[in-house]
Amino acid sequence: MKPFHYHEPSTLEEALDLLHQYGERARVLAGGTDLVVQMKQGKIRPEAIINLNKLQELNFMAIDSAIRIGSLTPLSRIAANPFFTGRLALLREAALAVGDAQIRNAATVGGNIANASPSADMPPALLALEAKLKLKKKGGERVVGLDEFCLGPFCTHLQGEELIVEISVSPIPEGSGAYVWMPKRTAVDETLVGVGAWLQADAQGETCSRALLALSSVAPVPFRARKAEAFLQGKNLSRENFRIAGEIAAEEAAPRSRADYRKTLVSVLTEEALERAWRRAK
Amino acid sequence: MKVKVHLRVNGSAYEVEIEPRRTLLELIRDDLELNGTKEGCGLGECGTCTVLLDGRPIKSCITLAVQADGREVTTIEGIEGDDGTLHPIQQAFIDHGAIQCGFCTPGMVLSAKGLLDENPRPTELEVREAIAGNLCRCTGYQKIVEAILSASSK
Repeated sequence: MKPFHYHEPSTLEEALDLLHQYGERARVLAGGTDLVVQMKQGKIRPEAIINLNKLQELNFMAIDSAIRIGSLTPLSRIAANPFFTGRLALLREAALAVGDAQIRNAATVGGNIANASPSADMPPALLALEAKLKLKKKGGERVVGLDEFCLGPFCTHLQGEELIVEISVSPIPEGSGAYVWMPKRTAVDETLVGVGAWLQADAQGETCSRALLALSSVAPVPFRARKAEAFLQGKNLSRENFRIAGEIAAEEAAPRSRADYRKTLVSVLTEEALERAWRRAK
Repeated sequence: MKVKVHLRVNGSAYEVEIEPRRTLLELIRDDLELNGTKEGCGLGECGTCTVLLDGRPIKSCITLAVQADGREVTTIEGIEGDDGTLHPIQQAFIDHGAIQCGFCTPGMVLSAKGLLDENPRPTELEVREAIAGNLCRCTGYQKIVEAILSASSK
């Protein structure tokens, strides 16, 4: 690993000052489970590392009518939150899909999003909840939808001096969700296809008033399968309609490698995610 | 340029000066000469470098030493009893023949300890999930799972 300038800000303000000073020449260190690996492999050689580990004010979860999660919250804490069960279990399922126990104890939700891997697991679950990101920089902040955050593989809307500070779902929508995924069979079980689903039913619980579907690892960025969502709107909540939605979602996917297999997986996993989300609504 | 890191390792306080690019694994093995923690892949995949950081398993080969500042590290050397008796998980590994070459064992034991400290009565599935980040190329996991389950009932 190449030497770098090292900074360990003790306040968010100090961290934003440093990011302003270095811009894209610095990388922030959260859990380090992606960053340190890339640095060891020589894939990136940042001039400076800004270690955020002392900013514990960004390690929090606040849940009432909305969900707010600090960007430095480890994935294992999200997975262990009793609130992310039942209709909100998709957040637990997505957190548990990342890496393994050791990785999840270190890796943070902000890192999982900012790294912008096409196969990341938190983004599809959060997309199905229409999550927003609060970004801060020296002297300013803005809120962007997660759906507009990723621009390409490992490439985001984040400007050099900005930091994700918070992920929010506001308000928590009616309905219920699920996240299902299939890993590659390698040492690290990276996600081959992931599907986040959220379903809202009418008062009788028979027809779909709204469906949200998000896919990962089948395009340069995680994205909403809007044609499949549109198909489900107003339809009966039935296995047959979930199957058709899966076929439509598969057509919306544009995987680069193992395309046929991945598309088949999209259709199977979408059907499964919708079925699970629906079961949780009852 | 070196920076100062204050940490506790196996109950003892240390202040070390270390280059920020060095990993926690290097600190443990090279500076503190605690060689029970192993280096395997060096990329966070195999889990042989697993240690507990504030009681939770992490991979020390992809953790910078500076990330342990102000925190408590537990390595395989730190889990035996004060009188030198083996930790119940270590004894269970021996009793169940859960060791062959032994290279993965320190990491396996610490992942198991991280699980049992938090969840003293895990299911077999929870045990398997807890050691999913620890690769063993000898025994095929079954005896390791049995050892951890037996340690959990003690």
